[in-house]
Amino acid sequence: MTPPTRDSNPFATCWTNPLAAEWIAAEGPELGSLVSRLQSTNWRGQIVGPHGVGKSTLLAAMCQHIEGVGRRWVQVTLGSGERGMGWHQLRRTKLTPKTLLVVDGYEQLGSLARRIVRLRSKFSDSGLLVTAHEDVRLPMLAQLVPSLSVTKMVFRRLTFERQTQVTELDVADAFNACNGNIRETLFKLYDLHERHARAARNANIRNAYTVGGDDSPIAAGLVRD
Amino acid sequence: MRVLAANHSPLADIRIEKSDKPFEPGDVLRGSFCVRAEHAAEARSAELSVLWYTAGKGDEDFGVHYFQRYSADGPEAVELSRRREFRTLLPASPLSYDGFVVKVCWCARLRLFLPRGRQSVIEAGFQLGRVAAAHEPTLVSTEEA
Repeated sequence: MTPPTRDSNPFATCWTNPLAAEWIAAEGPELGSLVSRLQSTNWRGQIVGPHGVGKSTLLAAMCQHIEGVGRRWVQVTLGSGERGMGWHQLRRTKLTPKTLLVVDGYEQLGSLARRIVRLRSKFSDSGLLVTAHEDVRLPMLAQLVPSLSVTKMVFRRLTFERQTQVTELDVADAFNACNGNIRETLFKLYDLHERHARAARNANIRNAYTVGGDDSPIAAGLVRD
Repeated sequence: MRVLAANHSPLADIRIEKSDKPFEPGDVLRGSFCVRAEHAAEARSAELSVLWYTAGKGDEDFGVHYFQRYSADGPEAVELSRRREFRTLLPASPLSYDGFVVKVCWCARLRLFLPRGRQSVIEAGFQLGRVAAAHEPTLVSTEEA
């Protein structure tokens, strides 16, 4: 009997969310140089890229570095459908010259709201770091593009300590099916892993059932027959 | 933070009695833990919890069922290298569940507080209840209906 744990699936959110995942700078700039560039632009910048390409992961990694150089940051995450809540939080956030306001999902704001955020940050002399799907007229820190090789590196890291029957060929198939959206690719791999795990478990159960007896998984009520 | 399975940690050992079979709601969970002698001087305190958490494709949740803190300093200092037992009455829910999209997982978790703000977390999982694992969702044709 193996109880379910977070290790049951290497593609579970607990391993792939921006705070847990490690930023891979294989084809992009190093974190240190990004933070230096942000400092040189008076703490104003944008990270641009399509859905699921790793903007939030890069942002989370950058924020750790930003702490390292002694800058205080406040993050507001704007998900689709949460614009009202995020906007409320943005308005209430106290900005000082030592604050770096980090807005993940800046494109969710309308043009007026964006202007207000920029003006507030400008007049309070705080920094402003945002992620967006397209250029929002802030200094460009990084423009991310989907990459199969980076996705394969993510796959190798996730499966280094947790076994899976998912292969790198599956990764390529999922990456193409998801049009390069790495987040969706990982969701697809999650599903694939679950299917493989269930198929393997069913095969074991069939074997155990052949042997039979009161201790069989079906008799123990752990699986449906 | 990296979470180690109980049998993978060089720092501490955590055991749950009779965890090879599912527990039923209302059962008493008995277990014990100790910090390995070579690391006991390093650990400043330890927190032992029995908790459930969800893991899967979406948002995560958790609930702490039992909690006990042990400190190597202060008036109630304990020797962390000595094996300490814990026990708790298991609740009626949530039951362990190996779902396709979400899993409900139970574990005993030991969090060790080390010098310079470092922490180490070790978990030993167990199963509460006998809910069958979910099958892969299949599409059912509605044409015949």
